[in-house]
Amino acid sequence: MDAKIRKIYVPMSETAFYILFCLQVLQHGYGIGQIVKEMTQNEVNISPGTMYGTLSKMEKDGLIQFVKEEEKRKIYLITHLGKEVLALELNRIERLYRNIKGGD
Amino acid sequence: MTETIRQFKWFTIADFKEEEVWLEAQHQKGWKLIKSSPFGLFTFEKCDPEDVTYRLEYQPKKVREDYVQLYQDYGWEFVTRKIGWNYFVKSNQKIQDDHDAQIFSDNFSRIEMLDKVFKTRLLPVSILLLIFVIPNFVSLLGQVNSLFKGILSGLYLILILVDVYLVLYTGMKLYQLRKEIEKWEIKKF
Repeated sequence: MDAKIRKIYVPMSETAFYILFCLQVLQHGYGIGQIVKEMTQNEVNISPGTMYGTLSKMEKDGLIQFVKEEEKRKIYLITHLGKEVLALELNRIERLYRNIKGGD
Repeated sequence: MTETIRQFKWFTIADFKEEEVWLEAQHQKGWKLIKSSPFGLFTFEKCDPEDVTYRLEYQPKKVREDYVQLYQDYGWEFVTRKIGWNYFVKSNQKIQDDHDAQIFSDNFSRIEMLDKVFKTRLLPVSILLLIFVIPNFVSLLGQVNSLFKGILSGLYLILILVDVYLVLYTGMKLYQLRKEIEKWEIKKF
């Protein structure tokens, strides 16, 4: 992973994190939005403009790949590079969580 | 046949929020937008008056089917496109909370759109004005030797001044919109 990708995506926003996290399985933009809404009890809402922009950027940077189109919806999946970035983020968040829990 | 009207109303590329409000008011009066054309020409079609939300998104990229579909999944109907600006409409009945009324959910993407307007629209015009139009005018001034040429240069000057004013107005407004968003931006730690 080059330094540029690391600089852009580590740490990443909650929106970007959830999008990448959901793409461990095949999914399209609106589907991701619905899953994230459910996972976070309506706390994290990703609007279409933000969703489209994030997916385009992640595809361009090689974190996710376009797999197929179904009923005009583009379906994506995480790439090897995407998994590496996600692993870095997961480590960071897990450490954060451990430290918080260890403090009380 | 459905009744349509055409109306002129001028909005700069930084007045998209004002444009949304105006389009919503038109819809409330029973005129729904069907086309927005350059130079402020709007085409409306008669409809039942309704409370709706209009959103304008600047997206220089070509409008593709999957893009329209994604917005449609979120309840936004793609209406028309005018030089990079996409017009979307959603019935207020489909809007339960503020998230449903927005096409962007974070400040990063809001700022990104403003920057796109700045880079791909305002900047090229400013550069053209500075390195071509204004020097061209100055060199023409040296050749004024008749009343006719004098009047022409006068008209040219007025056009340039209007352009300069528009560029400054738009630039200032985009900057203010950006500042407003940045105020709310929570910096990454």
